[in-house]
Amino acid sequence: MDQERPRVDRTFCLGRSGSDWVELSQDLNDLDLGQALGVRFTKPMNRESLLQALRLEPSLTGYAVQLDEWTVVYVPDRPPEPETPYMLVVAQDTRDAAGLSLEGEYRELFTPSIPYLKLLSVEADGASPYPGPFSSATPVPYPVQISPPDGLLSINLNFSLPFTAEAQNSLLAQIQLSPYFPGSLAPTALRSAAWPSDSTLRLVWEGLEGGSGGIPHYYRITLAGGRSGITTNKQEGAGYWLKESITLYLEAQP
Amino acid sequence: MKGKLRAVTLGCAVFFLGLALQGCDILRSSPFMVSSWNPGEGSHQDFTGPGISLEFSHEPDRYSVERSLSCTEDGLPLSGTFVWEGRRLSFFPAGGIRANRDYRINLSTDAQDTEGLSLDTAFEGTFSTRPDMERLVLTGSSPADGGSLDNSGGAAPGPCFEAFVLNFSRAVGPEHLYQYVSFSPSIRGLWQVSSDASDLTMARFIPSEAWQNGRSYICTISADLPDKYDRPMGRTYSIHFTVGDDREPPVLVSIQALDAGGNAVQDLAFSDFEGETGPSAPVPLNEHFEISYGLTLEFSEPVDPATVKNRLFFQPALGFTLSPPYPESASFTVRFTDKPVYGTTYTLSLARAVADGTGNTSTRQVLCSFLVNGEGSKPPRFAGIRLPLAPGAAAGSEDPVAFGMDSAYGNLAIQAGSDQYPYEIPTNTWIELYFEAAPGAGIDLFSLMNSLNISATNSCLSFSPRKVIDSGFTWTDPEPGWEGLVRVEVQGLLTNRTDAGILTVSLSADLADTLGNRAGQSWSLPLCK
Repeated sequence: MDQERPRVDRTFCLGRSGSDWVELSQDLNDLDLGQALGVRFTKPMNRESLLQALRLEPSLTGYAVQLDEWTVVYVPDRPPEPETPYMLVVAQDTRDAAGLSLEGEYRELFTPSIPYLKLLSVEADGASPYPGPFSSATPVPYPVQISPPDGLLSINLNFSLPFTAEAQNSLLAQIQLSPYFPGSLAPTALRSAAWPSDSTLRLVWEGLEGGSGGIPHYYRITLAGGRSGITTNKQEGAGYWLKESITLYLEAQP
Repeated sequence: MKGKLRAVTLGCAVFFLGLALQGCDILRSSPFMVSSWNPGEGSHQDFTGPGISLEFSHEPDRYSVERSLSCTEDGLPLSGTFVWEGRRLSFFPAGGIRANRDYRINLSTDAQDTEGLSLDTAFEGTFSTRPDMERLVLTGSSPADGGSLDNSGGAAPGPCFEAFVLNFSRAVGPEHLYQYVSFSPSIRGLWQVSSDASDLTMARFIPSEAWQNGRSYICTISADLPDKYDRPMGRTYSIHFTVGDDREPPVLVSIQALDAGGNAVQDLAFSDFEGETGPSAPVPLNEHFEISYGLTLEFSEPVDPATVKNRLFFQPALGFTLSPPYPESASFTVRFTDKPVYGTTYTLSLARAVADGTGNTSTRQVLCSFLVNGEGSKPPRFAGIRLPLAPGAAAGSEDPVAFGMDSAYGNLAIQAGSDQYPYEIPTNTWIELYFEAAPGAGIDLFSLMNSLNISATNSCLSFSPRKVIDSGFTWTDPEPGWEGLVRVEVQGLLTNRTDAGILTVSLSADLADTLGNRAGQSWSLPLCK
C-alpha cells in the first residue's frame, strides 16, 4: 500500500534547444530571459494535476508542459520583472499517480538573474564622463560643450548590455533631445548616429546654443524606459530594458 | 341368530369406516413433508450447487410443488429450472450458486402429494455461501470516539495530515469505504486497507488536505457498509474527534510606521473587532505619516504570509509589497508601491482568517487609519511673488511690490518710466517666487522651469524667463514676513505695453521640491495691470 506522499525533489531552469527543453541550471536564481522553470517530483505524478500545479507570485502568467511523469515545466508568457523576487508555488493538492497529494504547499523564493538595462555613463566630447545617477529626485545638469558654428553636440551613451543590430537600428526613435530652458531656444536636430561598440551609442545633434552672459541654456535628453521602451533585442521577450525612463539635463556651454 | 347379525353389521361398519378413513387427509398416519434438503442449514462456504435439492416424504404433485416453491439470493428472488428424480426435486438457479451469498428457499403448504395431501407445514430453509454468519463490526478507531488527532509526536509543527484509522472485525473493501464512510466537515482523501495480508481489517484514511486545526470532526460509518463478503454491517457508527491541541488563533498585536531606512518611528493605534457590525468606537486616526513610510505588522505568532497578503487592503487603494513573502513570520514589512497622497487619510483593513502554521485563523478584523501629513511629505505650495517696479533704479530703490496668494487681482502698478518698464522695450528684471515647503526642502529648479508660466491678456506685457536661481539673489533679504518661505528668483526680460490687462503667474502640478515631493496641484495668481 503506497502511503508515501509525493514531494518536490528539485527545481531548476530550462532553456530551449530546438523543440526540446534542456536543463541549464539547478538554481532558480539563474533564471534568464526566454527560460522556463522546472519542477521534478519524487514520484510519478497525475498528469492533469501536474499541469495545474505551478504558479508564480507576483503573478506571471504562463503555461505548463509535462516533461515526463515526474517533471513539469512552467513557461512564462513574458520575462519576469528584473531584480524582483518571485515565489514559485506548487499547489498542495498536486497529486501523484496514486492520488496522493503533497503534504503541504511548496514555496521557493528566488530572484531571476535578469538585470535591467542600465545607462552606465554619458560622455560628451570635451567633457568628463557623467556616471549618473540618472534617477535622482534632484537632477544635476551635465555641462557640455557646444561646437560652433552649427551648434554641434557629440555625446556617447554607454549601456550596460550589448544591443542586437536590429535593436540598434530602432533605438533612435526612443531617444529625444529637446530644448528645455529658456523657452526661446531653437529646436535641435539629430545629425548622425553610430555604434562604436555593441553597447555604446554615439549621437551628434546640431542646432544647440551655448549659454552666455550668465544665462545658462538647458537641454533635455530622454530615454524611454519600461518594457515598451529601449530594448537590447527586438525579438519579443528576448531583450533587456531600462527600469524606467531616464531624463538627463544638459547645460550647454559655448 | 340375532348375535350373528350384529357381528356382520359391525364388520361392515369397520370395513366402510376403513374405506372412509383411507380417503381423509386429516386422518393420515404420515404427513406430507420435506424429509431432507441439500445443502442444509448454515454456512456452506464451498457449496457451489449447482442445484438445491428437496426430498419429499410422499410422491409429490410436481405441478403444485413447483408453483409453491420460491428461492431468494440475498433477498432477491431467483429464477431457475426444476429437475425431478422420483420424490427428489432439484432447483437450479439461473445464475448458479454464487460465493458470499445468503440463500433462502420456501415451500408453502399449497404443495401437495399425488394424493392431494397438502404439505404438512410450510418449509423454509436457509444457508449461506459466506464463511460464517457473524456481521461486520467496528472494533476500534484511531483516534477513538472523543479523541484528538495530532501530528506525529504531538510536537511537529505545520498542518495536520495524520491518517485516521478504522479497525473492523473483518476485511472491508476500500472501494466501499468511499461510499459508506463520511466525514463532517468533509475532507478529501484516500482510503487504504493494510497491505499486510494477515491484517486486512485496518482501513486508513489519508487526507489530501490538512485537517482543520481546532475543528471537531464526525466520522460516520453507514450500516450499509459491506464486509468483504458483501454483507452489510447492519449498524451505524459515529466517531467524534478533534484535530490538534493548538486552538489559539493568531492576533495582530501592533502596527508600526517605518521610515525609509526601516526604523520604527511610530506606533499606530488601531481597532480590532469580531463580527460584522464593525468597531464599537471610531477608528483612531494616526497623523504625521510620511509619504516615504512603510509599516510593520506584528502578530502574536508566526502566520502564513499568503493569508496576510490576501487579507490586507488599503482604502483608498494603495499597491504594496509584503515581506517576507515566505516562510511564516510573526513580523511583516509593508512597503507601498504606489505613493501615498499628501493630505489623504488611508485606512488599513486586515480581514479575518489570517492563518498560523497549524491552521488556526484570526477571528478579529483590524482597521487602522493614518493621515499622510508628515512634515517631510509636505508638498511645495506657491505662496506669492515679489518683483521690482523700478528694476533699473539704484540698489535699494527698486520699489519692490509683493503679492500673496490672497492678493488675486491686486493692482500691479507697472509704469513706463525710464528706470521702470518703458513701453515696448525688453527690460531686464526679476520675479521672486515664494513657496511653503517641507523642512529642509528646496525647490527643484528644473521642475520650476517646466511648470512656471507667466501670461498676460490683451498683450499688456510679456515676460520671458531666462534664468532661475535659488541662491545669490538680487535682493539679499526676503520679503518681510516671508522669511520662513523658500525663495526662487526668476530672471528674465519683461516688455511693457500700453494696454491694460491681467497678468497671471501660474505653476503646474509638476512642481516638485528637492525631496521629491510633488505639488500635486496647480496655482494661479492673477494681477491687474
